Amino acid sequence: MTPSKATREQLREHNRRLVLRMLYQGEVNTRAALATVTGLTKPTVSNLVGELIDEGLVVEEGLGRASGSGGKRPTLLAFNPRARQVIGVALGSERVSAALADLAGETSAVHVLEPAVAGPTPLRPGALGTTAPGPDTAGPDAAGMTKAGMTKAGTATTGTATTGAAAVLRAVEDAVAALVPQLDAPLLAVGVAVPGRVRPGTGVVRRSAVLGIGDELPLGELLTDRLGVPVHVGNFAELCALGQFSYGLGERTPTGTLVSMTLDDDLELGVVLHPSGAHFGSELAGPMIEELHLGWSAFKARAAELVRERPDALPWGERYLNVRRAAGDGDPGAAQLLSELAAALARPLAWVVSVLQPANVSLVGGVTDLGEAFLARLGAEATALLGGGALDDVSLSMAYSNRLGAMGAVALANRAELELIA
Amino acid sequence: MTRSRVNDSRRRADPTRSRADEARSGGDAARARAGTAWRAGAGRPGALVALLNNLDGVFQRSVLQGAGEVAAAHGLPLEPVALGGLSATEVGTLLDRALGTGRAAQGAGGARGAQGAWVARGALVLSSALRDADLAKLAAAGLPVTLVSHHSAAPGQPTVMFDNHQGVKQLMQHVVSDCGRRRPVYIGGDASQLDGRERELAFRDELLRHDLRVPEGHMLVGGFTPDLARRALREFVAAGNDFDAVVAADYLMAIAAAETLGQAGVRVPEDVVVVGYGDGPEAEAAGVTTVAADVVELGRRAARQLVAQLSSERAIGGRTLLSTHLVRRASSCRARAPSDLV
Repeated sequence: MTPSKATREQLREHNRRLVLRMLYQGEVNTRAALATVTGLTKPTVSNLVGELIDEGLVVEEGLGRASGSGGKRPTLLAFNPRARQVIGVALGSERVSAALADLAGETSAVHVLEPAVAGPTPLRPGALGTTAPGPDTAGPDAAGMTKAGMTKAGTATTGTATTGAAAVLRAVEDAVAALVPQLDAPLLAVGVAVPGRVRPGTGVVRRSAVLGIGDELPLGELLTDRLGVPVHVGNFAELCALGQFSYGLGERTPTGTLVSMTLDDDLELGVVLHPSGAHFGSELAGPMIEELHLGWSAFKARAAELVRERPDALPWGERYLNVRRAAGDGDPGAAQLLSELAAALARPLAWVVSVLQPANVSLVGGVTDLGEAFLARLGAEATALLGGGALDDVSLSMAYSNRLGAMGAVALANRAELELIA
Repeated sequence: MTRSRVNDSRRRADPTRSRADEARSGGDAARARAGTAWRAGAGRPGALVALLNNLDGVFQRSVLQGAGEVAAAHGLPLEPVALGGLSATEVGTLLDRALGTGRAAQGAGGARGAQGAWVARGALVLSSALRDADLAKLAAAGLPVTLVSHHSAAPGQPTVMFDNHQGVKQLMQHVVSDCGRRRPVYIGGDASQLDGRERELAFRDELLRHDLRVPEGHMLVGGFTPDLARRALREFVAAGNDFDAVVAADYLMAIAAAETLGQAGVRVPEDVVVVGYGDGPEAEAAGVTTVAADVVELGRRAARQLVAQLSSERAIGGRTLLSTHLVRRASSCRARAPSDLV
């Protein structure tokens, strides 16, 4: 079969996206420069830029400097990130969060589907890297105390299960529908972060133990049909990495290959390769992980075990933050718990460092509430496994954000629609 | 004594009354006003109602302004009904009369009252204006409801509010990481309100995240009322307590705190950094650092949510959290570049 030639429309669309990408990346900002960089003729560039201006995706921003030889000052062009919006949805077993953002990733609203309220009962903190808002029982100072007025307020709940294909589809639809009234610009696309295994680039979820999906589910296709906009699906950890890569890692934008280790319901790894920007990720499941006792359920069970052994351990409840505090106060049980977790997590960290040699490894999820001291202990454990100096070239950090999954889904949708994926 | 820029400001905040203050001041006047508003036809055919504690608070006025703009753009009147000062029984009776308890029917135009009169097509419920039982009553009547800074146990009643955890996190990150302060005092809001509870919880969690040990006595009660905040901080300072930052649950209390510190000879921000949640022209005038949370915009967003429900086949619950961002002013230190992911 002879490959068909690109049609005129396809060629035009390709050129249009090329021009848009150049402006999005901020590499050029005049029509003349666009023509030089893309190799397109000046009339073609002018026509394409005119279209993009009509669609609101590009704006004119005054006049630049004339060239050294004088002449007319060029009109400066800029990508308009507010011309479209995207919604990123992060799915968890007990919480669904969705972020509404513009094309630069600036978030205007987040919708959370979870019937939790501020109340006296500690909630499960692990889901999607968020910390439950419930206060703890009384303790000796401000961080641990619960005021009488607060204990009377509201009731706590453990959330609504989001498991099974039908429930997952409904949850995404609901999260998107809840944010649609808040749109300030046309909705370009939706991204979805799924804990589990996702077939790269297809939108097909191969399995998700967390969401109760055992058979392949063409989630992207089904949602695209239902929502009427393109829906892109990725692994949760993969998108956490992409979110950090796209919108910053704390205060800095990571350089070099980035690996996100998300420890929530399960342990997952997400990778963004440098310099290509290619990204992938998956859950680490099965007996290997069970043996390591990783994941919030395992941690909580171990914490409960400690409390049974010694009722005065963890007096403020079984939250990561409280375990950190108790360890800081010298509680031997809490310290032991952190040691066990650091030792267990150090093994997959050592594998990651050995195999991928990343410049950045970022810990993501509820576990980040354990703080920098835990991170240092984790690094020391991994170094002990690998040998001295093994982590010298690795920046080990924590991503303290409960929006990372949703923002990663925003990044996925943006990149896919603007064809920024290498 | 070195006076701070904050306290040298000639453009002091207008004396404003907080939500809690005004809710408490209801009494007979509020009772009369509420009854009048209801009898005057709130909830007439096709109208949206805003059920709130009072009509005079900064928060309520701002929400009504924003919500009114959106309602008007959709050709819908928005009629406020003040319930402050009414007893729970009186509020319940009002709702019973309006909705026809147990016999309300959902029609194309809204819920039908017991007397056959059409009531509102939808309701915005602000803060703690209604109890859970009242909200359940509205849900049972099939009336579309959007809550503003409140939570409902009834399914399908969504909330629109500011992201309290994000905002407090931004304030604390600024105070601790940017300004290097580690002995903060917290001036809390009204614990009967969701915003008050959530912000305090968020503050306590941030103490843990920053490994700060703060005595319980550093948790002052402000009740979203500048006068209460002023009094609590004055007593705290007079007692000789050691602190280097004030984090207030709203910006009006933060302004009151900055003024109080200035009067006590405490330099802001050199000796004590002052920050507060939310933002408004008063904070700008007083030079107080805040996290921006535009209450008029909150009203717009809530109204958008409610209007969308009118044509929706099913009500979707959950919370829509509006983003906040740090607005650094003279009462604190220079901020680092903001992170998109906080």
